[in-house]
Amino acid sequence: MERRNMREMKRKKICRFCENKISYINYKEDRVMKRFVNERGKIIPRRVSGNCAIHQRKLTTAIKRSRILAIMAFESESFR
Amino acid sequence: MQVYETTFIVNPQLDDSAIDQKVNAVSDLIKNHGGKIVHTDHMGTRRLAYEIKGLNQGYYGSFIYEAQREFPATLERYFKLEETYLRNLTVCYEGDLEKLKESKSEDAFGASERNADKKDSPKSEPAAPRPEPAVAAPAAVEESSPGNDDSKDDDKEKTDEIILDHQETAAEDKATENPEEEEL
Repeated sequence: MERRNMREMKRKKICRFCENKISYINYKEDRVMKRFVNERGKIIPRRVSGNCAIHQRKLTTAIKRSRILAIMAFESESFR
Repeated sequence: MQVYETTFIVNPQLDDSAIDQKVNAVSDLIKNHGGKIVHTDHMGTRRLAYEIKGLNQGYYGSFIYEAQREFPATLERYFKLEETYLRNLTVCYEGDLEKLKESKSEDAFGASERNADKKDSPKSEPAAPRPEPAVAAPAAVEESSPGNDDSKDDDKEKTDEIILDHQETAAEDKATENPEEEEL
């Protein structure tokens, strides 16, 4: 019973890219991508961030491209 | 013809004219192979996220252009032979080309735009993380048309919203449901 209540209370997450109608995620804009990466520099899963599949895929590609160009870090040193 | 976007990092320890020359070399190569530059979007000197060849800064140059399908291979070979380019990336451009064509930054103004970039970009001021608004300010640079600026401002607003939204929810998320991947 309690468990079901918990599930109902859970807020539905909305993809923030869909919400703002962004179709192209630029790999040179680290301001946007930084928000979807944890302190260590790992990409946050969409189960946590709430992105839709399409945008998560685009975001992942963009982050990986920016890592090649040293715009974003593969691994952050500030960790620890 | 296919639309490509090439971004590359030039060693910033060269003097300005040498960097200019390296950037122009890329645009010349594009033109000599029958390509057409649609947009230049140089980000200027900025900090690298990680050290490359002992350097912590790099000059970022970027071109969006139409070219034959064989061209990226040629360009890559060029980058490999030249040691002053620290990194390069060529991708098929997926963004909205119409928005770019409205702004039409031809490379006749590329050099002045680039220099303006360079003054403003080195990340000293946190208020202007993107070079574009700063580039529009100097009177010498006339090639940033109002249409494009508008769209960019729109995007900026949107991204700001995203950032705000995310900050709110990130805290919740951490509290509720990512115990396992944080500690990896």
